[in-house]
Amino acid sequence: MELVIASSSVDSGGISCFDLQTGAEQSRFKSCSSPSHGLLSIGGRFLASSQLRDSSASSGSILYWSWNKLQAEVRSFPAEPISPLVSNREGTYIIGGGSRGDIYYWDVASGRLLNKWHAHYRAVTCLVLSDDESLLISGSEDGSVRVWSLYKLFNVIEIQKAKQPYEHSFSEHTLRVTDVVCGSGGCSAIVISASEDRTCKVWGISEGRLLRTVEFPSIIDAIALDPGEKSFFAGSRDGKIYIAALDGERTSSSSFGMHIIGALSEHSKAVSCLALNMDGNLLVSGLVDGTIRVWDTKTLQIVRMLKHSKGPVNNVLVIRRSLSKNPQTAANRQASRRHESSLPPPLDKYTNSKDDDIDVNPIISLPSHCTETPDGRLYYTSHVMSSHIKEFQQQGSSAASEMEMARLRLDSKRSLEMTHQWMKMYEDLHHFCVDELVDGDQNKRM
Amino acid sequence: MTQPQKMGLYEFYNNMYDIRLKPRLLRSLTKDNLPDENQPFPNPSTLSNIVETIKTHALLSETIGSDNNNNDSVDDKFFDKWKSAVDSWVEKLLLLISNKMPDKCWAGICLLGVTCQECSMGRFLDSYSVWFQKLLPLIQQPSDSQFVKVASCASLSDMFTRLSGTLSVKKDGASLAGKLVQPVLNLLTEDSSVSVWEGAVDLFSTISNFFPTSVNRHYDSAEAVIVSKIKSGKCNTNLSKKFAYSLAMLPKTRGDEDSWSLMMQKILIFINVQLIDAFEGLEEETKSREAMTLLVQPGKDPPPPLGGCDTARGNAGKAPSSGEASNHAAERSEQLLFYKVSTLMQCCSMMLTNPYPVQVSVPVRPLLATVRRVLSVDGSSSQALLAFMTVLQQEKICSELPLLHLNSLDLLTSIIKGLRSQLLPNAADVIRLVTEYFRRCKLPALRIKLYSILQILLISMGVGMALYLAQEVINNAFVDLETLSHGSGIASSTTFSKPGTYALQQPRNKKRKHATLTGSAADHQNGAALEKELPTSKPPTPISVQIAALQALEALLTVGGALRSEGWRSNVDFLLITVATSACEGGWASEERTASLVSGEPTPIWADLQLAALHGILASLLSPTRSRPRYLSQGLELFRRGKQETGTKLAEFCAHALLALEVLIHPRALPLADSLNNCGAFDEALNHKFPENPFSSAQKHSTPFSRGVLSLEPDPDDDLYESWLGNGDEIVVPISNTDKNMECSEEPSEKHGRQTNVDPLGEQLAADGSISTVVGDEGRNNEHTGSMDVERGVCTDELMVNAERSIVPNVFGGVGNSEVMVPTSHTGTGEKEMESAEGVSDGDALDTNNSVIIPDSVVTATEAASNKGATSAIDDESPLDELASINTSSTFGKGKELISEDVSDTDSFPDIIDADPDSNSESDNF
Repeated sequence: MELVIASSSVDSGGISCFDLQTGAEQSRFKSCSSPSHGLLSIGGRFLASSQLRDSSASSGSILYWSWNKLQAEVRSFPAEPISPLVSNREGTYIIGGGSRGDIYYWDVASGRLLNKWHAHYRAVTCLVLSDDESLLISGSEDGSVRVWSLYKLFNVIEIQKAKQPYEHSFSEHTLRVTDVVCGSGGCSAIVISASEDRTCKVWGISEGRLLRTVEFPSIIDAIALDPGEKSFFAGSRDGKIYIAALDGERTSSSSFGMHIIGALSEHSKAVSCLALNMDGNLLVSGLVDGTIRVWDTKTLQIVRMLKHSKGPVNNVLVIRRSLSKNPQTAANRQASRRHESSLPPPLDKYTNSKDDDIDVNPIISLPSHCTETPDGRLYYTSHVMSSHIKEFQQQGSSAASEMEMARLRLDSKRSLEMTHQWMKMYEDLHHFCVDELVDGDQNKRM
Repeated sequence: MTQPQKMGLYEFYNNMYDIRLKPRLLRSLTKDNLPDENQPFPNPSTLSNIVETIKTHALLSETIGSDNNNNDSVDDKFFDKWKSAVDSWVEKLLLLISNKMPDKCWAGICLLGVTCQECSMGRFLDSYSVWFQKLLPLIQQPSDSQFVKVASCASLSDMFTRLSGTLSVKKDGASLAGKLVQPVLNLLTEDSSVSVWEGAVDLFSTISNFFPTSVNRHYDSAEAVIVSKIKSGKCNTNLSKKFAYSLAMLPKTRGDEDSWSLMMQKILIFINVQLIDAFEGLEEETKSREAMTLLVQPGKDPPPPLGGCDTARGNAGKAPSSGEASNHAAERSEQLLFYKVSTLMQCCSMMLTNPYPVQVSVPVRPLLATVRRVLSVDGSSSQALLAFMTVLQQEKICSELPLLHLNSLDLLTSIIKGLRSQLLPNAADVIRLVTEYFRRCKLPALRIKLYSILQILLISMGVGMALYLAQEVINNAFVDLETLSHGSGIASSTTFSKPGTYALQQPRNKKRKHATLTGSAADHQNGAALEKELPTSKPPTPISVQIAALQALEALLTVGGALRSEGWRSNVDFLLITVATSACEGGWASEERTASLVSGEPTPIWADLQLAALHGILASLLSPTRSRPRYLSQGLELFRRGKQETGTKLAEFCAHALLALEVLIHPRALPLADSLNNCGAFDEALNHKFPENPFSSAQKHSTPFSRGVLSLEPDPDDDLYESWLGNGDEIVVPISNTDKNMECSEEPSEKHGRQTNVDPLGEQLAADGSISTVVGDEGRNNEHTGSMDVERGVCTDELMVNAERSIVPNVFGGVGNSEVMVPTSHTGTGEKEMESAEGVSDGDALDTNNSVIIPDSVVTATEAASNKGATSAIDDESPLDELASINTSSTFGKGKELISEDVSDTDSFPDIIDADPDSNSESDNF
């Protein structure tokens, strides 16, 4: 079941969940006013969202909702307001971007703040992980897009050696970056960023530079990348969703501008967020008028309209959730249920000082599937039997000979018994005969 | 209902699938083959025949598979027959078990175990408690034969395995299991036979796996028993592994986080305490203290020692080197110490990788500290510490150390596996540990482990990790693959005994190997020289190490083939193709393997090496580059040849490789527009593209040029189909470019231009593999990347250049800026691009046959802004090595001329040198 999850910057509708296929509303989690890119599902186990607060507040807040409770259960208060959040697929860590340009890296299971670094001069607006989850791409209000290697950020020595802590810094955008997406392909992936300067720019991670600029008629607030990476969707403030080509060949086929090959344009209000479903054939767009529209990417038609609330929708996610997530053992289901019901502790505000770091160990979930016994066997008897038979045949082993001994002992015991019997019989007979003879003699003599 | 009703003696079965066969077969088995009360025991091998027959025909299943095609002929009578047959079978078995003769009893137990596994669920549920009562006394009687005990354990284990699968009897099963735990522990303590231990520990593991709650009550005594067995050191490797496993499974019987952590802590403390004795005189005292402080925080009480206090040696945790140690020293102390530590390390590994019901907190730092501690000891002893040990002691320790190292590497692997993405905060530690150790490590088995650790790290941590591991992997792989990479006549498995040199002069090798083809060429010479010098002292690199090295390279290319790989990529590609060619030169080796007699594990054979080499080639061809994979044709040739080896794994892989490469050769640039218009049917879109030429004539004039460059690139954006249709003659070139010369695959049209003067040279050079070709290669490669930068810019924005010139300056200005902003990028500064972009447009203007040469000029001399410059570059270029030396060292006379002549922008050269930092040291070395 694919769910559409949406939230708004105004807390009037909370977080709404719809079934993508049927459009039925599944549940509505309460009290959430999220900034853009501030909503995510952590490993499919629970929902997390950073919260908008008035700018005077010195600390931010991040809430967790478990799937089966509508109220937020865990509240964390990071040192500064966080807006974008991102997590890895496993859901073991959360990365948040702060309003002062810092990026925070938390361990989910323990809530510890493992790392924090100053990433941008102004607020971080969007965060995204590369498909192998080793690179982090951040966009900022100051217009820069930076690529970070997570490994390097944890490697103090490496950081000191390097001239800068980031891998790439792209600064061609002149205004605030509104969205960033990353394609697939590990090191040769592309990154697309949208900015208030009305452009989307395509960057190559391996090249480390700008590959293409696409200019749009209006500001783009959201990007969704087609899984085939032939094109991307760009939701704009004029209400259209433009389709821009990433393919080198077709570029000038539309009146919208270079590289723009079409638009989905029934929208009246500005599009503030986009998401594609797993197959890439349904595009979900969230609008500032509080509605969510689902488009068929092949026919370019609206197939469904969902109503979130009055407030502008600024986050939509499409996630896949099944009732039995991993069709494995019963134990596993129990374990995963346990995961879902109990949420991890809140996130720390500060990093621990190194001294009392000894005690803090990562909390891991060991694989829940049954691995094999050391010799990979489930049933033993046949194996034991054949190895015993081998020993019998070789007659070399002590155990086999022991058993043979036992058998022989029993045999000999039985034979001994037999012998005894025979002897007894013999003696009886003997006595009888002797008696007979003696008696006969006596009789004769008499 | 055809005939089965009056099944008589004279009635025949339909075929071997006839179900009527089953009860009768079972009956005759029961009657004829089972040992009897009175008859003597038959040959034991008949038992395995019986089991075979029962399993093949599912004689005990009492159910009919869906595949049975005469279902209609089945009636109750048949099932009755079958049921009674099974009844009598079981009855006979139970009789046998009660028999006093141990062999008959043993046979009965074994067959009952098989029955537990094979019989129908209904029957099993009905009778398991009876069977249990029958079997239980057998492991309790002290007098019974070993075989009987072991077989009873196995049968009981199978019974509980089957029970665990049925939820309805789970509770009952748990109570039965509870009755069993104490007898099993008694077996372990009282019996002295190793094989009985093995059976008992298997049974114990089964119980604690499937019915954890039943063991809970006996937790402490179980721990004590298992630990005492491990400490006793009487077990063989296999058995000690089983004990380690059962100890690792023990916390699961409690199932809470604390038991797991406590067990882990206890084991680590025990290991570290043992190591104090073992490494006395071999390590600084500070190290051991460091590991211990991580484990037991100051101010906190240490946990009770492993195995509890009640055992005689229980207080090892508190008083490590007191009475106990001296006691041990009298015995075979070192060996026993190492054995215990190894086994417990295995136990830690198992704890980290086996399932556990709740989340646990892993003491990463103590674990890593322990691993580091062990790996840092190599048997050498500092002068100050020498007093503590004798030569004999050191000898013993050195003989045992490799195994210990192997186990700690296994533990490290498990740490990485267990922590998965949460390794990140400690990843730097792990990398340092591994890379440092790799430099010192010389034993094949350990190197294999290290390679596999690198491979795991690369794949799990992605590009970010590849950036830092690349050099380490390459340095080591180059050394280990040395024999193969120079292999001209050493290809066949029979002659494969030429020595490798990794044990020799590591630092120097490393330097030489450092990522330049110059290096590897020089190496060739040096290597040859060294071989002459030391004909006997170098051991050959075992195949298994070479396979591991190839796999690590494969992983590196898979994960990080494109990011900052300019420095090493071409070398690795070259190495892989050389290795593969020389490995496959002597034909395909047979995959028939003879399992090694010693370990039972299959030893890697030549065919495995070939397979690994081909895996490497595929990764090298598929991993993204900015130019066309240089050895595509050679790779394809190898795969095509390999595919013909019908029925081998190699052929299977070659077919897969050809499929994967097909996408590289025919990139499916399926445009969204088409798929949108055609309602997304992808194959339709593809079909449409063949007949319809999407190129307009207006675009056509641009293609000769951009195509020429573009066709090099395996970029999905570029579309070979269209370029075929767009400009026929031009495109024939890249297709025909599949020749043997490794050097000329880089540029389709270039080949035309150069064929006459370069090819002979190139071929000659390639043949002897001497410096200049290789250097030339490297140099060109640098330029290549430069020009490829252009190409990227042009290719993705190519129509911008042509159709809308007005935008060009803007865009390229942007590009230039980006380059300046990113100093980490080695090649292609902004200016360079600007100029070559001009070159591109010039080429467009010409657009005739001349354009065949122009791309050449752009590639070989990127900075050439005019046609003239280009031609002169070509003229001057014929002494290839000279040009190459300019690029690599840029200090020699002619090179300077060239630079001043052709290169207007000298700024770009430092870049190239940067990309190739070793070239200077290279030239010094000469």
